[in-house]
Amino acid sequence: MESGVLEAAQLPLVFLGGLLGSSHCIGMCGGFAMAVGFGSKSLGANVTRQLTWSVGRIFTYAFGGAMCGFLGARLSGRFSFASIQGFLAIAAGVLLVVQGLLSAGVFKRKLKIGKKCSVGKFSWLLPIGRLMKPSQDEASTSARTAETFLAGVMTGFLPCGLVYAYLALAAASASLWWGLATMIAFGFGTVPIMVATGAGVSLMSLPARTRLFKVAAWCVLITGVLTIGRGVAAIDVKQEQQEQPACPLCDEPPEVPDLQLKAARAQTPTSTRGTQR
Amino acid sequence: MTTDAAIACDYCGLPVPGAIDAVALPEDEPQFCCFGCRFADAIMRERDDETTSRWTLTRLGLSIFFAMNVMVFTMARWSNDVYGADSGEFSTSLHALFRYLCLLFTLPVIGMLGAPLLNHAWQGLKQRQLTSELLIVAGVLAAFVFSTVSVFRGVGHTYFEVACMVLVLVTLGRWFEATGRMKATAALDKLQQLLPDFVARIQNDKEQNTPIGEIVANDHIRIRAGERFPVDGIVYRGRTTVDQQVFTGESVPIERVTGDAVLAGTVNLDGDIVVQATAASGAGSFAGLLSVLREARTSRGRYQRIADRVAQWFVPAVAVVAIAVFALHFERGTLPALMSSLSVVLIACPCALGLATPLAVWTALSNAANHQVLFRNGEALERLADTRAVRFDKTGTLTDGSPHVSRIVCDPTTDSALINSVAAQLSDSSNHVFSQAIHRVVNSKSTVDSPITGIRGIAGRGVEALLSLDGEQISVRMGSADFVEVETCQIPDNIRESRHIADAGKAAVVFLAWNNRIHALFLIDEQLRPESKSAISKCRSLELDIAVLTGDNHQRAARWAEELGVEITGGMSPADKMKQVQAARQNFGTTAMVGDGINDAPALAASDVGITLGCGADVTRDSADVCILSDNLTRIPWSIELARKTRRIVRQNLAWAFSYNTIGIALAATGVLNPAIAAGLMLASSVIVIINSLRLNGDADVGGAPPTTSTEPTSVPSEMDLLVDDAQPTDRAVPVSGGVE
Repeated sequence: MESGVLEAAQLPLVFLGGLLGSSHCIGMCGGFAMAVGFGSKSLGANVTRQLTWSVGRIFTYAFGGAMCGFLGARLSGRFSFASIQGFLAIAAGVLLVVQGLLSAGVFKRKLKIGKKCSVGKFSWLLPIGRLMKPSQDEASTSARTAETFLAGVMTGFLPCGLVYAYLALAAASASLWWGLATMIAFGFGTVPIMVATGAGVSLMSLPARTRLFKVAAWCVLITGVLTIGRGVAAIDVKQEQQEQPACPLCDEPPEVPDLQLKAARAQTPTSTRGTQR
Repeated sequence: MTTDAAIACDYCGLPVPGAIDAVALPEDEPQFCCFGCRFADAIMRERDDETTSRWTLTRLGLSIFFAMNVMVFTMARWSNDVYGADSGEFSTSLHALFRYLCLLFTLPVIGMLGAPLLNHAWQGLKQRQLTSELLIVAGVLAAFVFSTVSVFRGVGHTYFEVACMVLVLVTLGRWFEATGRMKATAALDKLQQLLPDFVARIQNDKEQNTPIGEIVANDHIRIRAGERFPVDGIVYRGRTTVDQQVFTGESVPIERVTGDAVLAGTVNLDGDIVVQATAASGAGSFAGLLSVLREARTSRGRYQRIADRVAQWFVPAVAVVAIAVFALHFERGTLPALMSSLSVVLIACPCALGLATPLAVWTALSNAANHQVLFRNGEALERLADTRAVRFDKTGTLTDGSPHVSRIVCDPTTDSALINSVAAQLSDSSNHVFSQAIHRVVNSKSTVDSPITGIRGIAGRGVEALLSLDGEQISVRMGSADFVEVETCQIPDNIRESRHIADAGKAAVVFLAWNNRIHALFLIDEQLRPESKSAISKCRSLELDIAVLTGDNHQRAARWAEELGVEITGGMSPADKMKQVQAARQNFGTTAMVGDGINDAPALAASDVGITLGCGADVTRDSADVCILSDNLTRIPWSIELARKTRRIVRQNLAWAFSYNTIGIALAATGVLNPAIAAGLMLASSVIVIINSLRLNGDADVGGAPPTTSTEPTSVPSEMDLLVDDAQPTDRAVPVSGGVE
């Protein structure tokens, strides 16, 4: 957890990368954002609803981040002979770079919208839509808010390459809390333009938006490259450790064997609990 | 053949298990085959009661939300266990706080998802059924109670996350299953939705919007352009064109004028007309189609019965295993033992077992129905997959259903009016395609009054009757050469000549004879259906033994054989055809017979799978196992391929379900499996079976070209539309008048 400095430094980048969600995901989530706002009486009410929906989304992202962080921790704790964290970081970095390149328009993405987005294929999304639909009888505002929030929670589970890339990043942090934080930062990044889309406001001119998206795409790319670099460094250090124990990413050498010892010790209770559970 | 019809589930339409003998079930209440259907019905169906639907969905959403919280808190606690270096006071109290939070967040999940499951289990108990839901809920509740005790005592393990995950995953899993089943049975619903809910009934010159259920025969209904006919009827006023695709698969529209019949389910393309109903809604052709589909859906085939028998013992057996596992692991403590037995209950997937067959069969039946192929039941599909040999009838099957008289050669010494009159009356009495062809060319010309009595048709051979001629009763025969005993008759030269020409070619000949003299000869031409050749070669590539049975004489049969490239046995009477089918069954095994259901009924009945072609609107008419609504012969190899693919997928599904359950239960019994993971595996198993079965829905990889609308007169959809084509070879002695019968 001492490597937290690096993760903390990464959070703003993650946030910026999350901004990309707007360009990347508007295809899928934009429709939902509009549906959320549908039927609201004023712009203010709409924005409130959009925010509620986004909070739901971020909740799910945070949950995913925590899970992945925990799994990453478990994996690197269990297989201490190799730097799982390093490999996770490289995988996450590659995913991020690919997503970044895709979004920056370096690769031409083959869009088969007509085929992919046929209504029948996504019929299982119907319940989310059902939750967003304004109810006929004037339901109380709190019930409405709860439904919008839940719709957001469900939306968070929609398959999305970008989310998966950041989940991989969360796993690479190998910490429940840093995973959680990563995904929250990502989630917040997606809020501004998602809300704007849903509220039907265009905050900027088209060229300006395009430029912003480009910037966001490069943010993702840079995050990816940094993550890969970190992974490679972690693996290198791990190999050196075989002869000479040293900390991979911080300045306190004695901590590392301690950490590893702890992880090794932890294995025994972990495995027995595993069998009991 | 087993068609023990059961009650169909209100959501997915598959039979409700155990409902066959359950008389106690209330009639009016919707019946569901499983928990998943009850749940999915509440969420997915548009109901009047919207609040209930929303509440069900909100309940699921909230449960997922709370379950996610419980998961994160549990993970946080585990992280502390493993990595929490400082076991200081803060860490300890945080730990305790998380335990209480887990308890707090688990409570609503138990209430919102556990209660419906418990209710379902209770319903099952009332019907004396041990459901897997009961086992699961019991396990989850026990885990919750023990964990709560642990929290308050401050020591011991808690399994709140297991309780939450299991409830969420089980509920989601049941819902997915129901959705998969619904997809498999979507064809029938699609058909049902074709009919409008309300129709414009005309009473006392006023239009009234009437629910379709209230329409009875003789009601007058206004149908606007683009609407579907809600019931069978006769055009009362106006004219229009009709798209009969739902019955025939043909997209070529057909003209309908006053007095013509129209079928429920077909589309009124461009006329605003009034129709007089000939059947009440719920009766007639379209209802017949639906009822055939519905019956097929609730019938149980061979594989289904195997699965049913296993499923009956499955849940009790799992309960026994779970108890044994509990006892086995008891020394490790109550909670771990409980967790192990809960894993057993969860990983055991009766759903995969129960879904394996009906889902695949049903997907296939629906797919077939979408391609105008109706199977009477799932067993017909199974038998078709086993088919080794196919026997085709020629006339009306390989050739199109409306042969025409290309030439009439009369004895020059006989009064042609008399010939016309006799031929008209004889041909009128028979439904044979040849008789009908003759009738069309002679009927309008009968002017001589020559009473004919005692008409008797001999299937596949001809018609005989008594003719009063010059005060004498003489026997008249019209039919094949054998039937009229040509060799013993006098034959006028011109008839003899024509007969030679006919025998050399493919034309069929009908003789009219009395007084030991042939008085007339009708040359009848048949046309091969354009797709006959490709259908036969396709069947052959499926390694089927193919033969064609025909009543034509051997010479003509040889000519057909040459053209089709297939063995053709000529000179077959219906009884001979039946014997041929029986022989094929002995020599090759399961045999399918393809006919038009008119003069080959005995052969169809003798075969293992009777396939009739061009059933059109009359699906309930004959008892063939497979009805092909259209005249498209390529549907036969297509159906056989579909049947084989279905059999393959059913076997895969069953193999998967059996091996998954065996291995899974064994693994769970050793106690290494977390119940939450077991629940996830169960979900995955169901999804695998569902996805595998739904593969039968895609028709891309099941061959068979769609019917091409060629410029030739390919087929005649039904008796109602006999448009005799005039653009044929010009060497006709008798001009054939085109017209609507």
